[in-house]
Amino acid sequence: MTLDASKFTGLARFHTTRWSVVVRAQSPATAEADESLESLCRQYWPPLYAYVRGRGHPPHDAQDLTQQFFARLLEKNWLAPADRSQGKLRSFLLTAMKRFLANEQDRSRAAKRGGHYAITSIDSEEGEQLLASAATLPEVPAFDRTWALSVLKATLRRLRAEYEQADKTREYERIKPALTSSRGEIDYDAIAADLLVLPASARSMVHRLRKRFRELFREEVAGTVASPEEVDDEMRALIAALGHS
Amino acid sequence: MKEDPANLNCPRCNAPLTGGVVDGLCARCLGALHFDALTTVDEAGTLPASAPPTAEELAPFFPQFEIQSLLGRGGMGVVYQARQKSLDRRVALKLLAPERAADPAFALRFASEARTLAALGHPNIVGVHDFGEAGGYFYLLMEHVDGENLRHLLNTKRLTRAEALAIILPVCTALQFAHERGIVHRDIKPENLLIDRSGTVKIADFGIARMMTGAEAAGTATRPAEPRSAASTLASGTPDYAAPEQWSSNATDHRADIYSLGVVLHEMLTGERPGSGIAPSRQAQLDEPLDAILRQALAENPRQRFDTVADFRSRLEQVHDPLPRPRRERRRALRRIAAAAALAALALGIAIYTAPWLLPSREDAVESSFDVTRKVSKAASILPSRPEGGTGDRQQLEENRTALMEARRQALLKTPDGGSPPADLAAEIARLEARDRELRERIRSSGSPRIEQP
Repeated sequence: MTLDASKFTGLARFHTTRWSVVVRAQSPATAEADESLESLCRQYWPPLYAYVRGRGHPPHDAQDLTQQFFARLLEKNWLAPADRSQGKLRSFLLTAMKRFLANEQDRSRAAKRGGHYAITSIDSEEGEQLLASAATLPEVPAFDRTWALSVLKATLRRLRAEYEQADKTREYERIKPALTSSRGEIDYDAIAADLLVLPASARSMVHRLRKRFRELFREEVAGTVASPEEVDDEMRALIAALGHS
Repeated sequence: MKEDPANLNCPRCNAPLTGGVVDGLCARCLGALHFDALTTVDEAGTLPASAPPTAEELAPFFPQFEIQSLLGRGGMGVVYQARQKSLDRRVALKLLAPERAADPAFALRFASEARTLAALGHPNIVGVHDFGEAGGYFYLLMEHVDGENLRHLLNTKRLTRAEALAIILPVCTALQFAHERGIVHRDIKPENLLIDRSGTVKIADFGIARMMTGAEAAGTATRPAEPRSAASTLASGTPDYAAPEQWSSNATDHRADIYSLGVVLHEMLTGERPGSGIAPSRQAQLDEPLDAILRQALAENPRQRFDTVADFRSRLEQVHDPLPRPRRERRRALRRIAAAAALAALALGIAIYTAPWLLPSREDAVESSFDVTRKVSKAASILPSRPEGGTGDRQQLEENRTALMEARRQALLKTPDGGSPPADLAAEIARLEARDRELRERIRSSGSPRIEQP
């Protein structure tokens, strides 16, 4: 059995409550706040892109606009104290994007794009999928839905990464479908046979996967609100946006 | 991230999957999973307890062992009796409860704790031979103790004062040994005190409580709203034996073990756990110094307890041997009497019935063990005593070995005031070593390494 402590300590440090760090940061912002904002922007690029596309901009323009929006944001000019008082990152970014698009209409589209910062993880493909997922919804519910999907994606990315780091990728792939199965539907014996473990182990593997998914989802949501009291509300809002009222 | 934008509906919730698929899973169902969680407070409690694997089920995962029988199950795991094929020895195979074992971080903690436990070699502590992961379980390979646990013993007979002290003193020695190495048991209770056929007491499940709950959480417990649910909510330790600080988030240390040991001693002496407010000496025919000792061990505030188990032990020894002089000779004689008394009741009784020592629920086992003990006690009382027989020699050998190890340890350590060990310690060690050889020779020549079966 090979075990490496650094694998696990690294994970623990990954999720500080990032939006609250940004909100609390005074001007000039700390390096930690900058880093938090940048990672949040990278993660929530696709739902903002989908929003811009939903407003009728063609893909290439939407990419440019989203890119420019985040670049401005990172130049910190956008983080006025009034903006910071917005409790949730979701609401803050949507409000900021609406204002940005309104201002942008008055400007020449040929103006300088980008700036000092560059968002490297442009994933318009993901944004397009998000757009499709919310195509029939009115503007704001559509944004909330695409946002919720991004939180789910981030959660699953982290979940997978944890299993990969523990050399349990095969286990993850095999039991992942159980995340969306009801308890009665899960064939533990089949999982046990495939993974060469005892049925009781298969049961606890699935149990842990579901538990860990919930924990990580909560952490992800906690990363987008300014105070712990808002976590439950935001979770309910996102779950409702996914189609559960 | 690549997604399959197939124009399908989720087989479970029937929502269209277009764009709503996250890593191959329906987003709406993932949200539903989380919605469950909002209303499920105690997620850990939702896993239904499954039957322990049978010996046949385990066999393919442990080819190096012949899994013989299920010895019992407790909160921390399931124990099997097995034969280690390579060394042809009997071992106890403990599979840890799988709930936490599926946690990748647990693997790390498990390995580090298991190594510590394996290094904890003491005649009164159940040895850990090996550890590992198989079949999705983390397992510990442990010394097999052929005997009974104290719980069974307490169920079958009322111990005498001398028997109780004969059991508690070696436990104190072993706990002190572990505490000096920074290891706290955190779950001392009768179920974890095993008594083998030769009458040697051994502490089982050392450090498992800590292993299962994590270093930070170890020793802390949430006081349950319902006493009935205590066993399931206590993070570490067993409710009736846990020290007050284990119920709160206060830091715990070795003094939690002193408290638990106090509860065990109280129960052995009076048949009941403390809490009635009646002095133990009035509950049972005991002398008052024991009251004071128990009161100190059971103090609410850890600072008011004994500082160390060694202190606890030496106070008990004083009571065990109330005559001041000549101290050593009398103590040895009394110890021999206590050992013989304990053995008549314990070792002979259990020699013919090896009950599973972790299965308190087996009424039939307790019943037959009880009957056997009664018969054997009766038989023993009409037989002439055998002062130099195999039984007495083995007990003396164990005691002598404990004393020898203690003396050797003292020789290595400085005295508390920083001085050298007492001058007569070397002579004492030599004497104990000679006695050890003598006893071994006698046992060997008696040709009966085991207690005779009636």
